[in-house]
Amino acid sequence: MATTTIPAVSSGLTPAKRSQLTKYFTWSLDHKVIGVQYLVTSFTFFLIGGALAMLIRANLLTPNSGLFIDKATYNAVFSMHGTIMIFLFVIPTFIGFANYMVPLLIGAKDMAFPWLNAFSFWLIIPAGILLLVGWMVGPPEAGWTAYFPLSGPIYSHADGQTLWAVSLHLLGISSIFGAINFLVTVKNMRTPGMGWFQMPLFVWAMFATSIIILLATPFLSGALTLMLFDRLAGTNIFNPATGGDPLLWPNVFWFYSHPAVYIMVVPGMGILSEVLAVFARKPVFGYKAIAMSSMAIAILGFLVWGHHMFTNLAPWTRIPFMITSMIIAVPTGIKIFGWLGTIWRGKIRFTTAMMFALGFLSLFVIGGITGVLLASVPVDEQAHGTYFVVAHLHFVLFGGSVFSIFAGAYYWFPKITGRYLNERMGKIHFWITYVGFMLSFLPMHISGLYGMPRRVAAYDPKFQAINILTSLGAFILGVGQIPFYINAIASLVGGEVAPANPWRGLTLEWTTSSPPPEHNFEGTPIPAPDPYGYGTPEGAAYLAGERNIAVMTLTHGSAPLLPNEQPTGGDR
Amino acid sequence: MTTKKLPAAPRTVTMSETGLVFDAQPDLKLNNNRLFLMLWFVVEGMLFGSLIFSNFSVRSAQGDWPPPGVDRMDMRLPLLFTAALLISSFTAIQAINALKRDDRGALVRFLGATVVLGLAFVFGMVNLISHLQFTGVYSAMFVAMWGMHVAHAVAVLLFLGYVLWRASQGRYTSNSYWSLEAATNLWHFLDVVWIVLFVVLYLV
Repeated sequence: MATTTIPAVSSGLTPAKRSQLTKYFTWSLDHKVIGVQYLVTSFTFFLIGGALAMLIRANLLTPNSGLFIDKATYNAVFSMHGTIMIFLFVIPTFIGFANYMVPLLIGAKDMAFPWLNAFSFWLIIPAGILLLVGWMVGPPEAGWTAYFPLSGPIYSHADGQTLWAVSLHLLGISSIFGAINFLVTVKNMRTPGMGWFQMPLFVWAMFATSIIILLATPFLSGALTLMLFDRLAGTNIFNPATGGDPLLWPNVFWFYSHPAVYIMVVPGMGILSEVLAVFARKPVFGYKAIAMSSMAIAILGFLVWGHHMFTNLAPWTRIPFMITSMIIAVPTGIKIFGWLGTIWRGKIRFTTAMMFALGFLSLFVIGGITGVLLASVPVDEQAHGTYFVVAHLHFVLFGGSVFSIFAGAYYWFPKITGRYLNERMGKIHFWITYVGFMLSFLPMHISGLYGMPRRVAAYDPKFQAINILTSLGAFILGVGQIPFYINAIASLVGGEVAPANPWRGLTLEWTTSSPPPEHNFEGTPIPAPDPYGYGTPEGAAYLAGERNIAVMTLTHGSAPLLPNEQPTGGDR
Repeated sequence: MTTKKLPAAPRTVTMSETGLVFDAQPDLKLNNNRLFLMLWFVVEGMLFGSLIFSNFSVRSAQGDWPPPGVDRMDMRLPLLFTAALLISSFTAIQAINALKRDDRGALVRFLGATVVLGLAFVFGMVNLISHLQFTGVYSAMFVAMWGMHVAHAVAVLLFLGYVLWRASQGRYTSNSYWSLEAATNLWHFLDVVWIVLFVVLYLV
């Protein structure tokens, strides 16, 4: 990259360094810049959502409400906590990782629609601002699920709920454009020689996730449109007193929101496959099974939404939803066993990324088991609306999604920034997070089963001991995130410089420099015949720099393949 | 609604200093754009589907539809406007056929007819609906669904207007007319959606 001449003695920000920083604050079509923009934005919202969680736990130290905030504010705090964590942290973080990595992983120069990519990111900013402004004009207090009539004009007459709906509309549009971008990019822009089953599993995961986003998010838009009609145009679509259907909102909302939880975990599972294989130095066990399981979860995820409504659905629908909700545990279980098979007898290197991946395995399995328990109608009838559900969802969302986010962060930070994250700080971050998380959320299973309801500012004094323990764990968990932010900022500035392939990975992002040049690769990248061929002679040869022209042999001597063609015979 | 496939591009591979370079597919952009449009139709289909689902959900809560005391919407004038919409799709197809024959005059005339008929549909329906009052959940659902459609129709009409302007400037050739293809396909899609909505809103 040509720059102006830099003075021989330079300190602080040179013109070159300043332009490198300012590009992240301006409109850029480069998927790598957009990826970083997503990541920094979402990790900022993680802090805000986390602070709200600390406020919740501080208030629950005593059984009576009003320790720091009153009941109405408490409702607003947990509503915003959920909304921010889901829509402004987890989902944008995975989009950020995907934006940065998917073109690199498939050997493309950029996404299929760079302008749309930038547009998708810049929608996040006004959406986030609108949501935060909503806090000031009278915050939403109806939970992130916003059931009617609580979220209607009578019980939520402040404007914050309306702004919430508009904000989510914008985020939905951003998601949908992103999903189309990923689907087209993965289908049409893979480098020659990369058939569908030579794609890294993170790409499969993003492909499946994009299908979910494509099909589900329009239902959220529909629901929000009707909500805005009721709140702004004086209609009564959801009001049962005037002929509306009270079950309509839960049905349309959960038809989106259940697939949404798979949007939030499937990319993380893709990251798991990458990290576990690299740091166990073993091929992924059951590559095709894991790839197809991602697709199966994407489809099956649309058939289970009723399990959020067991207590108010027509009785004949309960058993079918119970069955589908249990079936979806099967592809998830296939993945878990695939990952266990991957690390079995591997040469495990306990980097921080690997620790977080292993942490995912333990925590997500617990969350998955409680999920199957909740899928059972008789159990759910007792546990619905209690802290048992809060425990389940945090085990899968924090123990699952957030742990995989951190695994990806420690794994890909060197590629994105050209510097290692400090491993010692990383281990401290991991252990405080793991212990704090367990201390906070494991007891919730007990308080939930003993009957403590969720979303309450005050509770029966018999639950106080468990709540104090939970809050203590939460404070440890919260404080434990500080080392990560310090580590990230300090490493950016003065961390150990990382080479192109610090982890000796076989996927394409490691074949280019850290960070990659603007056009991603020099020449056309040649993928390894098996992106998880660790321990094989071909893998070792690829790592040693031999880029066999595999594409030539696959076409049996005829013209070389172009990006959207398949090999003419043999393996796919 | 047939799309024209471009001829296959010659394939070359050259060795540069840094490695092999395969030539970029010249029709990659077109393939990307076409796939985008197909996926966009899926998204829009789900969006209108969510509203249709909501309509039936509200009906089952009501029992009778329209609810007692509410008149069913009169479909005679809307049927006329729907006919205009259907004819406008036909003229859009003729416009593309004209371009394929390299007949620029016919292209502009048919495209112009499409826009005029589309405007007739939008203005006609807006006039009808603006006299409506929200008396309850029947009219509320009606306006929500129809409103979503007409908003899309206006947006696509604006796009068609832009495409008409470009056509009149002679910017399309039989080999390169992506925005024309996209605009007319979007219009056909809205046509199909309207047929389904017409059935749900007026007939059943």
